Amino acid sequence: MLKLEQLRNCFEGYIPSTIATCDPDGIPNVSYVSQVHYVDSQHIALTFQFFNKTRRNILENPQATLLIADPYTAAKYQLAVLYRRTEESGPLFESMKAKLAGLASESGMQHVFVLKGADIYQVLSIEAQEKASAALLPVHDPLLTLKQLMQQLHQAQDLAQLFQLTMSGLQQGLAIEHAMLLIADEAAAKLYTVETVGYVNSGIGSEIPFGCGVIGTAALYKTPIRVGHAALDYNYLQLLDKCPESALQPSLETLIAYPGLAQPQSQLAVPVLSSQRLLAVLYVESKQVRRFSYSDEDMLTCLAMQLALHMVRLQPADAETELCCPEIQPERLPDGAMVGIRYFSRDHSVFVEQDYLIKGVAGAILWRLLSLYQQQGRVQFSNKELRLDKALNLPEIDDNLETRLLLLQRRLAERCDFIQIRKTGRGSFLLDVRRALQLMCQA
Amino acid sequence: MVIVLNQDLQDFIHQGLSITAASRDPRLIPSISKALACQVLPDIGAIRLFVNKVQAGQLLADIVSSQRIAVTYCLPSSHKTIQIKGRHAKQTELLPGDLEHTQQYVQRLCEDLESMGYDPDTIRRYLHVDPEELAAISFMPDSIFEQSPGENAGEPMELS
Repeated sequence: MLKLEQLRNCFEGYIPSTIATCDPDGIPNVSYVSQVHYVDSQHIALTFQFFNKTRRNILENPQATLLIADPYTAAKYQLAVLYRRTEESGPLFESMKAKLAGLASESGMQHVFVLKGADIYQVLSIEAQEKASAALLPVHDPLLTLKQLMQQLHQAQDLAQLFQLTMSGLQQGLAIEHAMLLIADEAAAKLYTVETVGYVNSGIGSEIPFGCGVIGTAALYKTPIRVGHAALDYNYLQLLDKCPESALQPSLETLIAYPGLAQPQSQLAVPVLSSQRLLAVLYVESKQVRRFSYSDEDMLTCLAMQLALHMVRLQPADAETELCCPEIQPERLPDGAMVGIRYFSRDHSVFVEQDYLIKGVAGAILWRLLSLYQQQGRVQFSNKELRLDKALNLPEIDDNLETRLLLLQRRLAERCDFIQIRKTGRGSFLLDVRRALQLMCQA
Repeated sequence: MVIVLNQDLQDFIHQGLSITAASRDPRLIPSISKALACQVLPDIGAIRLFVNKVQAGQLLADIVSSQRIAVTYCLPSSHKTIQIKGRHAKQTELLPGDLEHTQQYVQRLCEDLESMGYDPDTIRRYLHVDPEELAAISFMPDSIFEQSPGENAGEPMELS
């Protein structure tokens, strides 16, 4: 018997689906469907955009029949469905809204394609109108690819390796050209970029508020968001352009440019969740229309689950790390001329001479490390002491300390070759300073 | 009430459109199928549809009992879509020239779809005309609705 999962390619919208309904007087109606969305093995959802005849009919007679077609085999299928309910908000609604925005933008009908609700139908039966040609079915084996990706993640010894392996796995296993990983800062309702691949500028440290674009929507609703066509409402760069700076959160990083494609045709963002807590968002994009399928969405969702487990595994527990003994730096004359490091306490931003480096929690950490280095000659630090440091006043439970240090490490590697952070063990690291510094603190 | 399609509508539905037909059984459960081509018989006002009788098996069974049919006609490149509803629907004999008419109609639709960038192989498989499985349906139109995407979708169309 055919299963709904086997037909998900039909829901990509390449060949439009149609729905037949019937009013209580027995008059049939047939109409195009903007989007058929796979919900689970027994349910699909259709977009509710207008109170049209189809909608009036299903409210009075919930029996309907859908005609769908596979874009690869061109095989047609009839689905007998029963209207159950409408959802007007939540993850499913947001996911369909994003997809609809892509379709609307492709057909130039942004003002017409507004989602009022997601109509949920139970699928009662599936009938093939002809046999699909087996030779035309895709030969790609997603399970094998997934297994290989999962094996790679197991090799990671720390978060930095984990994130790099994730990106290289996406590139090699799924031939994805552009990808990024953004860590969630739930308290500030934003995400910060820690790893990217396939961009001219790495964009590490750039931030996206929850709810904004495909990435922000995936974070806010903790649901995968997949768009198969360029959609203005989900183009982060264009959203940013339209958004007056004052409307952005004051703490939002705006000096580091978002690295993503200016005109992505396909976008897929998947939340990385640990027991429903948002750790990160994995994002891939492409210049190609309909680059990502349901199968890719499944693959990335599985990968995100694995990623979450490893992120938790590799966060050093405080019990495992020790408060390291303050170590005095061996006497060594730093090379070159003195460099001015300016710190602005109002937003914890740090500048190297005139060049912006970082702000926020990572900026505050850097300033604290440099101050301890300058005052006490310390170079060896532990995560635990930073967590307990009253001068830093980090939130009591900041599980992101490790990723913030990683972000800082990456920004320094890109922007400041004479100050580097190197891991020396689980939960401990070394500050390597190779120039004489002049620290200046301003309000 | 039976209506007669004006010349503009006749020209529209003759140009090579994507056609989908629906009917329903005695329990009001709908059936649906692609139609490959259509033809207006101007003298009596009837519309003929050409379908694959395997794919349209349930639809052909349902029109026997209900005699009701609803048909959408869409020109993909412009999104212009109308729906024609009708009664007295029945399967009719194929006539000489029906196969050629259907093949030419499908060819015009394929050209429109190709102009939009659709893969030619996919659309030819999708709209394949099998001479062994061709069947004809005729019906008398009784109402016409605008169905192009937008707020006016579903509005009855003026025929004058």
